[in-house]
Amino acid sequence: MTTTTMGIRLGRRRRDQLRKVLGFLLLIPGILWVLMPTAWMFSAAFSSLAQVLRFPPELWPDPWVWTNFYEGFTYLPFGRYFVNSLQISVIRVIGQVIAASMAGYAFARLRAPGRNLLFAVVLSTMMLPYTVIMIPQFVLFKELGWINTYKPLTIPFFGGGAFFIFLFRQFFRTIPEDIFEAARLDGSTYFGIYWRILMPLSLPILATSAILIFQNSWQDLIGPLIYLNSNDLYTIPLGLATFRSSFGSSPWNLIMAVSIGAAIPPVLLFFFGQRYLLSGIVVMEK
Amino acid sequence: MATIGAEKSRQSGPWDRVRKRGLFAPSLRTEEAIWFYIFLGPWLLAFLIFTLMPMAASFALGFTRYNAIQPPEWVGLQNYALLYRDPVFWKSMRVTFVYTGIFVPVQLAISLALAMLLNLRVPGMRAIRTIYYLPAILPAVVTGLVWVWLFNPDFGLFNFLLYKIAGIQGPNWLGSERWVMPAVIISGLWGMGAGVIIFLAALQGISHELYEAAELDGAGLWNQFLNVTVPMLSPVILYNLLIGMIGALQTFERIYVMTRGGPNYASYFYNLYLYDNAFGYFKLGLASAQAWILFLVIMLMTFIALRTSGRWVYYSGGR
Repeated sequence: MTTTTMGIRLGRRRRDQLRKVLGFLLLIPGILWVLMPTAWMFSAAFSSLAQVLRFPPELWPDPWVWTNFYEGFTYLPFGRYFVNSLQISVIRVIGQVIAASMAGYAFARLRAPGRNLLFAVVLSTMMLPYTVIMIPQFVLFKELGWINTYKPLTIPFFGGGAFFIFLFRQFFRTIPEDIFEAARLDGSTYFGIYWRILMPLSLPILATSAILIFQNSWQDLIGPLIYLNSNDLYTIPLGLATFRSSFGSSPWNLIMAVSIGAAIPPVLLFFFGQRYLLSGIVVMEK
Repeated sequence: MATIGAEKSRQSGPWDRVRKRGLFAPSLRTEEAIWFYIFLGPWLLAFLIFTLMPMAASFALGFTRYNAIQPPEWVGLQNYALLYRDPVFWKSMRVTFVYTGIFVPVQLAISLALAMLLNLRVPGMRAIRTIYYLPAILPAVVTGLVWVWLFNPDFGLFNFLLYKIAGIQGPNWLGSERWVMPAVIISGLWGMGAGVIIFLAALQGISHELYEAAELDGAGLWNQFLNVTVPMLSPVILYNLLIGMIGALQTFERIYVMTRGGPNYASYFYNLYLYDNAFGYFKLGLASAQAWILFLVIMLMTFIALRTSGRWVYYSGGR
């Protein structure tokens, strides 16, 4: 190595360190910005309503009110809504992941006339606003007697969804051809390849899709708003949206307690699945 | 981002020759095609029943008067004419476009900057990334509720900080025609983790050698950003731009809980008006026409973005 490149290397290390320190300092205001509302949520969830409404606001609850969670979850049957949301989301995750992985396999590995055209159709559905299909779907589900059931919130998604089909296709294309050839030589069927070879290899993508689908489903408001009438079928977002209007003045401490409860499943899922999430999305660029 | 382009043709595998086939059995090629359609079956079925048929139906409904009880009545272009003369329609269009025009570029710039910072190799980065992604995990309804409260003029945190730091009396954010849009944009900028994650994943895919080569050529940090990072990320920038735009034009949930469109329609987003027409007044024909106008706008804007993207999007590997 010549002295000039050595010099560059050394200067570079120092500059790298400087960059890291600067970057880290830049991240701090952002962290505060992100955490501020979250801290506020927690503070209110443990405060009395009188304290929440006080000006100037105090972040530290005084006294600590632990009953907000109990009161919030019983004023409206939020425990019930929680189970409802969970039920819908789990069914949707299973159906959507299976369909998306199957379609992804077809687009990545099986050749057939019309494949490229169909893939273009899949991608272009990403542009389609939900409102375009919302009204005829409503009419259709009304005719089928699906109003006030969970079918409109789950079954239409059993096609997989463009984004997830794309994700699976990109991932399956990165798997070396040799594996498929070897499997075929061993007498594997196409289904066997999908089920016994691809699925075990796709853990990161399965986890990524499951997390994202769960999040989408868990926070969906417009679907339940249109299709669910009876109170005992409500989901968490629908319950929260009605919670605010069903009180005279907003009981912010109770709303925040319920909100924290509503955030627990997606946060837990993200926490345990985050190591898959990034590696799962990396394949999109491939 | 990969394109739909032709793939390298698969060589015929050795099993083609090895496998013995009956006289009337379908050829391997036909068998593969059949399996393709079997695996695509769920999507194909759902697409036909829940997307394509409703699309055609909503296009047709746009030319009718329909309340879901009596059969639809053909009115020609009347719905479109009604919307054209409807000041609330234009207001909702303007609100949505102003929001999209400001929010999407700002969000894109901040997401990219954030992703670059989060890509630094610093101890504790995993925890910092989780913190930054937190708002994106919270349901939109929860986010909306938190911000209603933060923007409360009497006891909200925002006006308290304005008072404490700048000594000024803050506005009545969500109750003021002038301040409701800034408030909605600020609250939207809180939850932008998804775009950041996609940028972050793309950044990790950029080869280090490119930066080293640029540095040997004497490029500073800014030039490295302009000549390495931006071109290499440009397909992802385009993707985030399109998805961000399509999402912003359809903003609904957060606004539904934050303002319900008020005050005086100052935050009456397009989809809010559409929803009210459809399920508030059961003017399903009119709402269908509204949906198609939005669809055409989205298609037009996507087309323009893709058309002009040839000038600034760089596909490595010459796709």
